[in-house]
Amino acid sequence: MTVVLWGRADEAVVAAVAAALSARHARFLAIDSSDIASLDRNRGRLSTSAGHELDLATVSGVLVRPEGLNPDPDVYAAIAAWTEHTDVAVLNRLSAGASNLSKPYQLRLLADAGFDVPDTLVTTDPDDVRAFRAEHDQVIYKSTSGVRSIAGLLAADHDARLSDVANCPTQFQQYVAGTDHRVHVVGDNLFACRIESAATDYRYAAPSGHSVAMHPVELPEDIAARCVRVTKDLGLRLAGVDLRLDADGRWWCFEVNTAPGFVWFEAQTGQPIARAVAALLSEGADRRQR
Amino acid sequence: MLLIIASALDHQATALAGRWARRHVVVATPRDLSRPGWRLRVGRPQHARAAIGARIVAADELDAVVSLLPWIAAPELGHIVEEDRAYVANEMGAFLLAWLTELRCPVIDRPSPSSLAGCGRWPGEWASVATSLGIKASPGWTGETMDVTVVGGCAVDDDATTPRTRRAAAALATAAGRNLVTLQFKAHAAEPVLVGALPRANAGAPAVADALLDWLDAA
Repeated sequence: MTVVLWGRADEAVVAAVAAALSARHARFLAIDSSDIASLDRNRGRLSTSAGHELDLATVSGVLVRPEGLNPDPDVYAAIAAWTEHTDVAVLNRLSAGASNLSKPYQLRLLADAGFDVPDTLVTTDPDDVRAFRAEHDQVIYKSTSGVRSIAGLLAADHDARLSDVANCPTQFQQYVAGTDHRVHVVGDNLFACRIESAATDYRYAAPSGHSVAMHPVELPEDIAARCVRVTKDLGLRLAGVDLRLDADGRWWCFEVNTAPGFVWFEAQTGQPIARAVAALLSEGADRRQR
Repeated sequence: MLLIIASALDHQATALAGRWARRHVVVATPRDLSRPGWRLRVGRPQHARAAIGARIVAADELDAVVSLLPWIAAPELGHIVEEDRAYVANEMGAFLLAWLTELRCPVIDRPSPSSLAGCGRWPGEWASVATSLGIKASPGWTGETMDVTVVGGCAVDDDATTPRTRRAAAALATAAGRNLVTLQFKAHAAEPVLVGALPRANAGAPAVADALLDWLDAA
């Protein structure tokens, strides 16, 4: 059986999973979109531009991290459609991974799943922003879409620029003080860590002059179960759940990253996340994910 | 009030609004998303608002929404400086996905992360749906096609299509969870052969517009 790593071979997550598969003596093919010549579902064959052929019946799992588009949109569409419908483990299907293309959309799903989520406003009205700020001690702003942005605290000196929100719906969120936790869910396995940083957005701690420390932790049973369940509910087999524990012991959920770059967390905590991903991809035929 | 969300360049939306002129109907385009007044409070659908033209429209004023806008194209945002257009288009699309999802009134079709106008699918996925129903599919077909629009589980009657093709279209739309979709079949084929689906439905055709209004009134 062969594991397909759909992505650039030198991308950090693809490379980490490739190394873990090698350690298991598992066969794998790391290939990005532009290196695929064709995918014929009727014949069950994937052909690479280097002239190799892969029998799709021998594929045990697919890691989906495509960086580029295929020059032929029909080829990209064929690969995408195959990953949507194959019965093997796919981490993650593009359709399932799309929920965090809109943060407020996904936040609603997280609330429906039973998580506490921060009060969130998206608006083009500067007066709405002022009223929202009056409701909360502190408010942050960040992108509404999946485009990566640095969450910032809304400060008094932003007042002069608030009229700019009229140009584009802008997201504002109640600031919740507490300790960040990142939870990686891989199938039924869970790897949680506590993140210690004074930065508003720990991912950008260094540029803001802060440090980051991560420590593996055990989550309360109900929170752990909720993380696994919401991962499944979103149609995912691999997820990075962003939680924050406040001073009252309340767990808040901010986002589920559907293509988590877990390598940084693995390096900091020693948690065997890539190994778990490799094991899941090697398992072979899997239950339908949706 | 009936709200149609569409590209400013979409003649189907213009035709649909014209056909529904006896009702209170408004069309919102991506340009409207740069007007003060749009609002979404996650989990509080009653707080949702839209800003269309010079009007602020509260969520409870909306009787139904028709989404004919699969995505927001950056070139349509000519009022935004060029270097920000792609980012703003992404942000507007993310907002509309959440906003349309929160609304309590009927929305045809509810958006998904892959399309603001219902459940977007790759051509190969439509082929899989067809195959699972025993309907032939040819997603790579580049020859002549005919369109069949399905509204609320019924294919809109059209002299150019056979009852068998209309039944196939209705079954496909239902299986794909679409209340409004225009499917393409091979033209002049002895039996229905699905080619794919249009990104947004041909809602402006008079028969489709009438069926859509009936469906919304009954929803």
